[in-house]
Amino acid sequence: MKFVSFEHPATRAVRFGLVLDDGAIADLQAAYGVMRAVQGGAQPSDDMNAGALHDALAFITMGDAGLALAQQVADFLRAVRSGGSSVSAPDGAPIVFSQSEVALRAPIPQPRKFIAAGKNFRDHMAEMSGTIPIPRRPVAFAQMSTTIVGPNTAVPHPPETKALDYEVEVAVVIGKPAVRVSADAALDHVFGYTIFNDISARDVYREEGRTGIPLLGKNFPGFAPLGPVLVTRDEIGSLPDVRLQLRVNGETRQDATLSSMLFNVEQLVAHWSQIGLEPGDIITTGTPSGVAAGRKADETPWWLKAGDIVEAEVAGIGVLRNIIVAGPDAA
Amino acid sequence: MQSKDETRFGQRDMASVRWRRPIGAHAKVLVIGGRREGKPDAANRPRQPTAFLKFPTSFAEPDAALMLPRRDGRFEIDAAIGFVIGREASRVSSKDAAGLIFGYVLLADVTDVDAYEEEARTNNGLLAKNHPGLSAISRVIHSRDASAGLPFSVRMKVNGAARQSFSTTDFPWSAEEAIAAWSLPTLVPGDIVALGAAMARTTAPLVAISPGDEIEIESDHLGTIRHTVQSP
Repeated sequence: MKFVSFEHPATRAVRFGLVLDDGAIADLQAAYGVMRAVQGGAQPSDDMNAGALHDALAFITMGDAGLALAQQVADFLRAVRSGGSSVSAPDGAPIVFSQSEVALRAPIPQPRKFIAAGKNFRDHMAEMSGTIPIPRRPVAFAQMSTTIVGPNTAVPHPPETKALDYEVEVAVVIGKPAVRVSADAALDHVFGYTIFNDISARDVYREEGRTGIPLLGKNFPGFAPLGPVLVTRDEIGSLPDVRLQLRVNGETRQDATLSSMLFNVEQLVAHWSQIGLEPGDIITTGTPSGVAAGRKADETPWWLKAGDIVEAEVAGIGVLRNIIVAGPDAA
Repeated sequence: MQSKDETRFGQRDMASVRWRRPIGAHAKVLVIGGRREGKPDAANRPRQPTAFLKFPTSFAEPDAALMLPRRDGRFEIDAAIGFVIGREASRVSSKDAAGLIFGYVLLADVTDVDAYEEEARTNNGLLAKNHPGLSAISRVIHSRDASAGLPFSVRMKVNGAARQSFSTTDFPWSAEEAIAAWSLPTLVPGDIVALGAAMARTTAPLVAISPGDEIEIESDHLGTIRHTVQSP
């Protein structure tokens, strides 16, 4: 199954949605309400279920029960729509939208923890060679939730950087609480996956690292585009075969599979479960080679600039497209 | 908020209340910090004060022990004062930063030294600073209007012996400068920017802790936080 967070075209509220077979988006909570009304026989669990279907974290926290409800809603809507009927709420308000009718948000608009791996692809290590030793344990930095933006949104170019970079990554979304889990058990705690474009101010990051701890260089507003959809674990296929690509203005910059990760998804989840992971938390994979920071001095620089269109693509998930825009003036 | 009413509240309810850490699940806690070697001073400091990020789950509940993640290994504690942010702000000047402060908390920032040394080769101490329930935070946020306000002096005792002491004037960056700098990623209500003893010019290095240790961190107007250290 595929899920989205979207801005409701009438109310402007952020809603949790189920992507239907034809790509249309159903407001999950509203569709559940219609389904239960049609089925009749109100149950005490109806209100509680409906209450958890309106946002990503509440839905993911329901675990398998939530997925079962979403499957029921999908089956119900398929049956109704295949009969040619349109579906709407009792007051006539639509509950299914075409993709062009809604603005997508990051599928997890506000996770409790967002841990972005660094230095986790052998070829990326090679292109950055000389600056960083090969890690013996997974390396990551914290991504603040104020950096998260959805697909098709603008990423402001901060005035503090002259070295704005991109990184396509897979974002692993935790489904069940995970505390000190083994790598063997790690995938049982994964809900699904989405795409992450890890935007960096490389010069800011390096300067922080020279004098202290790098953090700000990854955390300017808009530096964490996520989306466009959240796919469940079963949709992604064999993890090492998952292909990631990144294009800037249509030109391919990154193209690799997850097979060359230094620490695989299972190991990353197991390692970071030491700090205690909760439903909706995000752990990312790190990025392969092809970033702007890997360019040699005699090559044309690839730093991002205002007007650039960046497309991060992961097979089985989709394309996460964002545009770089001029940022605020320096203080 | 702490006020004269606290006693009355205490008589009525304190024993029956289960205290929780006064921090939301989505808050970010930024503790100004740097390399363990070489502290910057006010005259020769980087433009941006660097910071560790601590997740809310790294703080123990007020009545819980600080839980070491393993029986062996090295752990160190640092007393800190946290400035709780009261409104959303981005790119504020240090002149305007004081207006963002909702209130104050005391913090015990505990580091897993083994993880820190491993992570220091390549990154930012994310695991070293974020073991669940290993650090501590005041049970009460002291609102700015009910407090004497800056500057504060903070003292830490371990097993009754004074181990750290600093004032908020002892740092290469003022509280306002630290808040202004970390408004670049946007601060939201409930976030905390903190200054820890390790960066103060007056204080001794971080203090090693072991199972059974009794930790006390206090400040004249911000009360005391007390915890015992426990191993699994």
